[in-house]
Amino acid sequence: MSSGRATVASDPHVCSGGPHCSTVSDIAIDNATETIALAGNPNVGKSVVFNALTGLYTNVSNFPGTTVGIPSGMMEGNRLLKDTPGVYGISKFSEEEMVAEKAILAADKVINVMSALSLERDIFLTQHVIDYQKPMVVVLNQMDEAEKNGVIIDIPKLEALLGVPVIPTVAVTGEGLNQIIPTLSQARVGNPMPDCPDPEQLKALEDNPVQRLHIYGLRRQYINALVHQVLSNNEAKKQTFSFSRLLGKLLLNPVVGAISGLMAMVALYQIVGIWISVNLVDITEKKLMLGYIVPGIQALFSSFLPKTSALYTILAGEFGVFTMSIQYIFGVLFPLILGFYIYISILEDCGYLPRIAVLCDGLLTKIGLNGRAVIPIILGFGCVTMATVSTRVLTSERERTIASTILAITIPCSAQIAVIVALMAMAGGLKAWAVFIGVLSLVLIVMGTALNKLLPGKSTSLILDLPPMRVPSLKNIARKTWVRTMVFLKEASPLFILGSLLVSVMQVTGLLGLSERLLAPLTVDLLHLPTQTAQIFIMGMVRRDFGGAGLYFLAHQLSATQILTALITIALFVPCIASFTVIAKERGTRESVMLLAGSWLIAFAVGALTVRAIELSGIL
Amino acid sequence: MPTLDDLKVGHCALIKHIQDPDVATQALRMGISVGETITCLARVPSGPTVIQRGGMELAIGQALSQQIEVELQ
Repeated sequence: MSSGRATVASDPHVCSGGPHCSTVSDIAIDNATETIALAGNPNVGKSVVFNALTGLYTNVSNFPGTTVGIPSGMMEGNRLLKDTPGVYGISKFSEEEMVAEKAILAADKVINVMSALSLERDIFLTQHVIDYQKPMVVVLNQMDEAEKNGVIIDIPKLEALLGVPVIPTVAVTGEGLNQIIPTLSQARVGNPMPDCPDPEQLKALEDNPVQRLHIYGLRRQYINALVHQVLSNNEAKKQTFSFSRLLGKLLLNPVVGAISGLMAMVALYQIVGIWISVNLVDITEKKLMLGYIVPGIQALFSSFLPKTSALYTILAGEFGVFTMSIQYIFGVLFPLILGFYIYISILEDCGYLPRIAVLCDGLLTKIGLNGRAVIPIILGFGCVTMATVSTRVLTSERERTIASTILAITIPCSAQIAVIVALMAMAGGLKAWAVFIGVLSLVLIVMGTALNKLLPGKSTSLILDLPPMRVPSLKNIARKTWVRTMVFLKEASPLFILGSLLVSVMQVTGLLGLSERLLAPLTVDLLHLPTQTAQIFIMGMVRRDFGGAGLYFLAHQLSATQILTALITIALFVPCIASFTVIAKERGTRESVMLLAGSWLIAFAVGALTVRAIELSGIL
Repeated sequence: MPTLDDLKVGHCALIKHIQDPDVATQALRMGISVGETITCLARVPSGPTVIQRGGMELAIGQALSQQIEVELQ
């Protein structure tokens, strides 16, 4: 069924350096006999269909908007299949809708995936594409769940009314998927709604918001009548009690929601902060890397380089390209990122994330965001770079600016968690944590509120479809975690190597010492820290956790107040090179330069205020 | 006239009017249009209203729900 060869590709307009951006070879695209767009609402099983048709593992998601970029793959018959973001319509309400619209209108044929569970909603997009006269095949998915819920759909009648082939499927088990490719040759332009103007005229009319509302009203009326003819409910089979519904409803209760949210955070802290970053990393970094791999690499290099030479220091020294980067990427980051992504993928796949979004909506509205922004923010605790790309799920530019700023400045990424946990223990435990979290939250609130007041325009409000709660699928979790971890490693590793190269060259040439003296007014006078802490700020620019790690090695010479001050300053300090590159691509030069300057200013100002407040109050 | 924001959990309501055209457009796509009956499934205080229509659950932010006028059933 699958032709096997597939990569994630991209449209230059969509994939501005985002993670899913390798390319299907140009030759393959040139040879493609036709281009097919896979379109559908969020959560209808589109990605599973895409994988089945191309053999590629994409990011399957139970939360709208987590697929970033346009994955493409070659399918049987030398056809190029383009996946599109899950959208409720193609009306330019968000960047995703524009991306989807462009891909759908440019394609030769469309495979439209609908869910039998939400026929009334999904059919709007279907009819919209039919009205644009695109040859189409409909995949009616989640037939099993619909049956369980007593939903009966007259498929021959639906086929006749829409005027296009309809294939019933159960994508998760693969049922019916083998019918898609043979049916593609029968793809045809369906029956447009009555009195529908031709595509060009329709597009012109729909570009006008008033006309659009009128046309949408007519289309909705037409399809409601259509659905009425094909859909019936088997009341006897209809589940009166559904555990999934009850749980979903319960999690939306503010009290239950707050308690479960808190538990989810404690669990994340316990798993990523303690088990992985302390216990597991102790084995992977200290025992495995420092015990065997790093000495092995050093022995290898010392066999042909004198240990005192500059080249040896650069390649295999303390910050060496082959020693520090390998020790860090595989000893520290890999287990952390893996653990974090497994956890997030579980929350995502079971349908819990959208419910967190609903509960946080009220709070996020105050800083000019809406509930949808919890996704980028939560992802930011994993890796800010990835999270910045995912701000595309937000509707307006205004929200994207606010979210990117908050991510770059106030959200510490998972790579830092381990050092933060270890350093907090040295800085006085609970009290230090309270100060740290308090200061960061305060900065987040003040900054968000200020941006919300200062930026022109107004933010959009939440409209979010809540998928049913379900038992997470192991396959989905494995797939999502794998894709994200690989993307992270591919994106982070080169920058890591560059970073260690930079630091070791600076060490060898004496630039490290010079910069320490140059930064002294900031570190010594402003933050009351010893001169050598300057190097942690320089390393922090390379990668945020480099800074934390550097601090860890200096910690025994510092007081609790100094550790806490340095930690807060580093956390607020510039985003790492990797995320800065992505911010520059996503948000433009002006905004990224302002962000860079702003983060320096905020980090040192807040650091200076914190150190004085701690010293005066004597809290630690 | 009461709005979606005034609903309490368990209330059924008929949608009478949606003020903002963009909101009305988005709602139409989701299958929520004037003349439909919806059920309030959950409420977050000074936050979104979660409504149910057919098998679909939809969360609507406060600023939007205040623009959707309803008639209690």
